[in-house]
Amino acid sequence: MSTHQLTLTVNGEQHHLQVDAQRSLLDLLREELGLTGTKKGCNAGDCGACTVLMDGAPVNACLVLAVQTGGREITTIEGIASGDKLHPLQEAFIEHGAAQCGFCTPGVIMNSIALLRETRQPTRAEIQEALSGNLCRCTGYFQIIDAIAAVAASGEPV
Amino acid sequence: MIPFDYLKPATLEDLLEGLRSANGEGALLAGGTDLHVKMRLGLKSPRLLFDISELAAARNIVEAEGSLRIGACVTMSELMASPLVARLAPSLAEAARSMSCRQIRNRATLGGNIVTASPAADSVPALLAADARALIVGPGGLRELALAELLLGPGRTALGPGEVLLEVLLPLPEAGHRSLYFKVGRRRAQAISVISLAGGLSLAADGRIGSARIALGAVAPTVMRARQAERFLEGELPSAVNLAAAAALAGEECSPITDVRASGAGRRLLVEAWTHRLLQQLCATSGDDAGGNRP
Repeated sequence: MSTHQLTLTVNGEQHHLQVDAQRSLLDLLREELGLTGTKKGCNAGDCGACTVLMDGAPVNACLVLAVQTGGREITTIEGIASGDKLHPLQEAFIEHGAAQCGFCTPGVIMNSIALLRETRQPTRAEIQEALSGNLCRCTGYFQIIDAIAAVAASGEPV
Repeated sequence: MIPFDYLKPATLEDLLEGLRSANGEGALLAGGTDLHVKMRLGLKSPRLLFDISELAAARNIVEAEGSLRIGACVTMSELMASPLVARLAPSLAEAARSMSCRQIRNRATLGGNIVTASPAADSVPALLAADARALIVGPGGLRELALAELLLGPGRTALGPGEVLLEVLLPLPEAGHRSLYFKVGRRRAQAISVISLAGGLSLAADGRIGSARIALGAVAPTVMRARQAERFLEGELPSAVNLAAAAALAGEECSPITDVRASGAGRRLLVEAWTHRLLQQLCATSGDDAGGNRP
C-alpha cells in the first residue's frame, strides 16, 4: 500500500497531508479533517449524502480517492456560511422545514448550490432532475424543492 | 478493501510501461464510479491502480479525418456540454444525459462505460448505432476495432493484457441523418435500464429509407444491433405497416433474460413497442431537431 503527499484546499484553507492510497475523499474529510458535516450514507455512490463540490462541480466524495484531489479545491457544507450568517439555502431549508432528520441535507445543499450557479432560474422539473442523486430517507422532497425554488426566486447570490 | 498502490502516469508511454511491469495485477482508474464499488464489495482487488482520469491522450473531443474522436476519459457531463457532440452525435449526448445523476456524470467516463461491458451500459447503444470504432493502445502499438467486436459478453471485452481503450471514433453522419436515443427504466433518473435503444436513419430523395441502424441495450449478453429489422427497412418506404413489421422483427431477434428489473418476455414487448416509437419518430423528425426525448 502506498502513501502519498497531498496538498489540497478545503473550504479555502490549504492542507498538506500524507494519505494512504485507498483513503476516500469522504474519509479524509470526516476522519482526518474533522469535517463530519459531509455524511457517509451508502458509501457506494447511490445516496448522495456525501456530495461535496470539487472545483465547483458536485461529486460523491465516497467515489473519489483522496490522493486524486491534489491541487483541487473542495467545498463542504462547513464552508458555505459567512461567519455567523448562514448561506441563503441553509436559511431557506430552515424556513421551509426542509430538514427533517438532516442526514441528506448537507449533500442536497451542496448539490443545489452547484445547480443554482449553473442555472439561476431552474424550473421545478430541473430542480427535481438535479436532485435525482440525493436520496432523502424521510422523503421530505417537497419542502426541499420549495426551499431551493425560493432561493432561486429571491435572486440572492449563492 | 485489499490495500493497493496508486500511480498516476504522466504520459501514455509511462502508463504502458507501468502496465507491463504490473504483469496483469494492475487496473485502470478513470471515473472510479464502478471500480470503487466493486473493490469495496471485494469483486475486484487490483494490486496497483493506474489513474488515467487526467491522461491528456484520452481527454479530447475533436472532429478529425472524417470522424468524431472522443477520448475514453471524457466524462458524461463533458459529453453533454460539448457542442461537437451535440452537433455530430446528438443521441450520444442524450444517452449521457440519461445516465445516473449529476454527481456520477461529473466523474463517470465514456471509456469506463464501455469497458465495464454491461449489457445495460447507457452510452453503448448510441455508439453502436453510429458504427463506432475503438482505438486501442497496448504493447503491440495502436489498433482499431469495431466497438461491436470489442464487447464480448457481460463484463468481457476483447482488450488484451496491458491494452487500454484510448478513444472512440464515430464516423461523421451523412447529411440528413437522424438519430435518437431512448432509455426505459423503472424510474427516470439514476436507474439501470430495463431496456435502452438508439437508432439512426436516413431517407433517400425518393422518400425511401436509405440506411437504418437500430441498437438495443439490456436485451442480450452485449448491446446488440437489430440487423434483421435494419435489413428489412432498407430501401423500403417508411409506411406504418413497414415500421410495425420492423419493430416486430427487433422484438424477435433480441434475447432478453429475466432479472430483478423485468421479465424476459416483458423486455421483448418493450423492445417491439419502443422500436416502433423510435422508427416513427426517426421518420417524422427532420435532421435538425434529432437528438431524442426521454420517455
